[in-house]
Amino acid sequence: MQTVMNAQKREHISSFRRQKRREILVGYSFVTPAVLLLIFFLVLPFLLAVAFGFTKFNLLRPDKIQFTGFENYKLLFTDGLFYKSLWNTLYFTVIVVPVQSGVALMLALLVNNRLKMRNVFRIAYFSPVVTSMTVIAILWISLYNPNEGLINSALHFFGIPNQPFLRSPGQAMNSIIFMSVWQAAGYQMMIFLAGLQGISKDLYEASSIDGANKLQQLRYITIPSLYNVTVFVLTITTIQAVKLFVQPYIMTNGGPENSTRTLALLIYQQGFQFRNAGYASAISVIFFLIVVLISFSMKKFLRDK
Amino acid sequence: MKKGILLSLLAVSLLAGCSGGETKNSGSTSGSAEGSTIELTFWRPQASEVEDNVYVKRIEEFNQANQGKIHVKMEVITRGNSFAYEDKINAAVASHTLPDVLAMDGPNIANYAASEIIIPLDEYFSKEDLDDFVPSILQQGSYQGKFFAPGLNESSVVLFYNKKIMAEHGITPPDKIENAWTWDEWYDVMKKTSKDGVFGTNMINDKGEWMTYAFEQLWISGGTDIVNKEGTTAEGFVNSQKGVEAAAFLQKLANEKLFNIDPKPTEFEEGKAATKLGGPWNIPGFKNYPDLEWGITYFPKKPGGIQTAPSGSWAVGVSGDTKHPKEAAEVIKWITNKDSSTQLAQAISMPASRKSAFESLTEYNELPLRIIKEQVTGVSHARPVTPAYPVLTQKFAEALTDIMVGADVKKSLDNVASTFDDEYKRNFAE
Repeated sequence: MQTVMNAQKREHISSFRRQKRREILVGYSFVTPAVLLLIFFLVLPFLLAVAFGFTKFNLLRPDKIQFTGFENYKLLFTDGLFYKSLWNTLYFTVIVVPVQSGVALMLALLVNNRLKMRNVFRIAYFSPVVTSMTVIAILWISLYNPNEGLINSALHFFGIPNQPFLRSPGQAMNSIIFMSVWQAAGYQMMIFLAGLQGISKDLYEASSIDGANKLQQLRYITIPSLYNVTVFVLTITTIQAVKLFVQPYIMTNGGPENSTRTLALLIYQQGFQFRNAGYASAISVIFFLIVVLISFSMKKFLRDK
Repeated sequence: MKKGILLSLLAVSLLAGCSGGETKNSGSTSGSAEGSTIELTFWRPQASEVEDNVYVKRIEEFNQANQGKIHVKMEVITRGNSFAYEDKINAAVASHTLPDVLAMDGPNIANYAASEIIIPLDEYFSKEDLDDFVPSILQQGSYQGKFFAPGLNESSVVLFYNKKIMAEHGITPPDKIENAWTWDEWYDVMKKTSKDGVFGTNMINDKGEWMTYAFEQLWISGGTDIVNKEGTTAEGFVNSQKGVEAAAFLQKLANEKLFNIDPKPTEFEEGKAATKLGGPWNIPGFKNYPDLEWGITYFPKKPGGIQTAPSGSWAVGVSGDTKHPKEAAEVIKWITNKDSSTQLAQAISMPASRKSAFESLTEYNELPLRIIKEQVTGVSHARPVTPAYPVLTQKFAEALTDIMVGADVKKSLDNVASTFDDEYKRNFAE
């Protein structure tokens, strides 16, 4: 009797194990495509970039790659254009992240009200997001036209003289910032809106019974409740901002006087236009380290609060 | 896992096959030859339908003429953005899958030649045959004394003018090359005509390659260039005194708002610009504006300077990967011979690359096209022949754009010179 029991038990355990193993296998087979894609298109290229960063590699001479040690990095740290691009990228990020997130929050609060046609407003604010950035950039070139652009015509109406916008080193980056905020704020607005709708109505009801006014509700209920959403929004906005490429590529090609050259644009120009794949890889590695540094410090800073 | 990779490879190759847009095989040719036929591939970027058709026809005729010997398969590469074709070549270089014959933009020839992507063709062309090409084609196609790639057609930049506006101000643009406007005369015309929302000229096609293509000529007209003849240094050329004068002229026009730095493409057509620096490619579009009465005059030169004009075109070369250089050279000779050059020039409104082709292009004997012919066959200069051209053209275009919006002329040009020289020393100096 005992032995039969044991055998049954053993049988049971081994079938359990088999099932477990099968489950694990199924799990692995589900993640395999994703992991493979990541390895081939993210991990491997990055490792290659690190390796190429130590070489002189002309894109048209792949058979003549020369190992040059830290030569590219030496060049990089003496390249004025690299520092300029780094500064431009940081400037854009530092301005765009708070402004864009702030605008997005305000828009979200607006369209969260029970106004008439609020869906029309929601769609209006969101529509630039679904339009191609390239199209928007081309459109804004003509809006910003220093001679006859729509914005200058509007300024004229108020007696302000023509502004050069994209065609002046002093205004070009700010012009790009303005149009980028306009384009992208709708996306963050949608995330904030989702966050706002997740806040329980009870909190507002209870506070109004306690005599809180709208401003106090905003300060003590809405904003604290949105903390996690805000962290998320700030993080993705920052990551998007440091990658700034399309707007300067289309609108200014990095000019005038390199005032809108960003790191991404510099990498593209060196790697693809000048075919210096080795040097471009070295910049990419530094760029990667900077992005990692920023996102880690943001995570730490925002979590510790 | 293996299956997945295979499947994805299959999918990729299918996609590639679709986008290749291969031309139809004329069928029987390859079948009848039983192995002795040499199969060649030919890559070129997609162009307008009329242009593509000329190539299809000429390649078909080549295959018929060489039945049983050579069979060319032409692959038309779509060019979604302006670098898609070059990207494909870059990728093919890495994997050694270049076609036997490939088309390339003129300024890339030196770069490709220096990288041994294309091989010299001197032994396949006779002296008389080469001499029939207009000089700028030979200049563009040669690198370090060897000839690599003949052009399929030529191009030129002329000064279009609005006849009505000229008549209003009593201006008669010159129609003889010795009377061509100087910068000062052109400036006076712009000064007179620039008012009430009309610009004196329209001269910004784009702020990229156009800047080098069109405005390098101001340096040449002044008796210098943006790099030395060997293409090894820019110091003392682009930023020479004459160079600074050329750039200062452009800055003067910009400061006095004689042209629009961000113009609408149809500014001239709509009568909003009195003159326009443009090329033969603009002419077909003029038909859509029946109110526009236009004429052509010469590319303005520096007072007392050299008469010159921009040039440059797509060219064809034999790749270093080919196993049949002799046969590939046959294809090149055929596709750039007198008949091909004539037929292409007739189909698209671009000047021919061969002097002999102009014989049957009678429309080029009279105004306005006569001006283009005179420039192409007589005075044009090709863009700099240097392997570091990609850096040169980018930096030069950036500097000119900066100068037009008010940057310091000398400093901007100095920066072009030092960037180019550093790049050349680092990557191309022996």
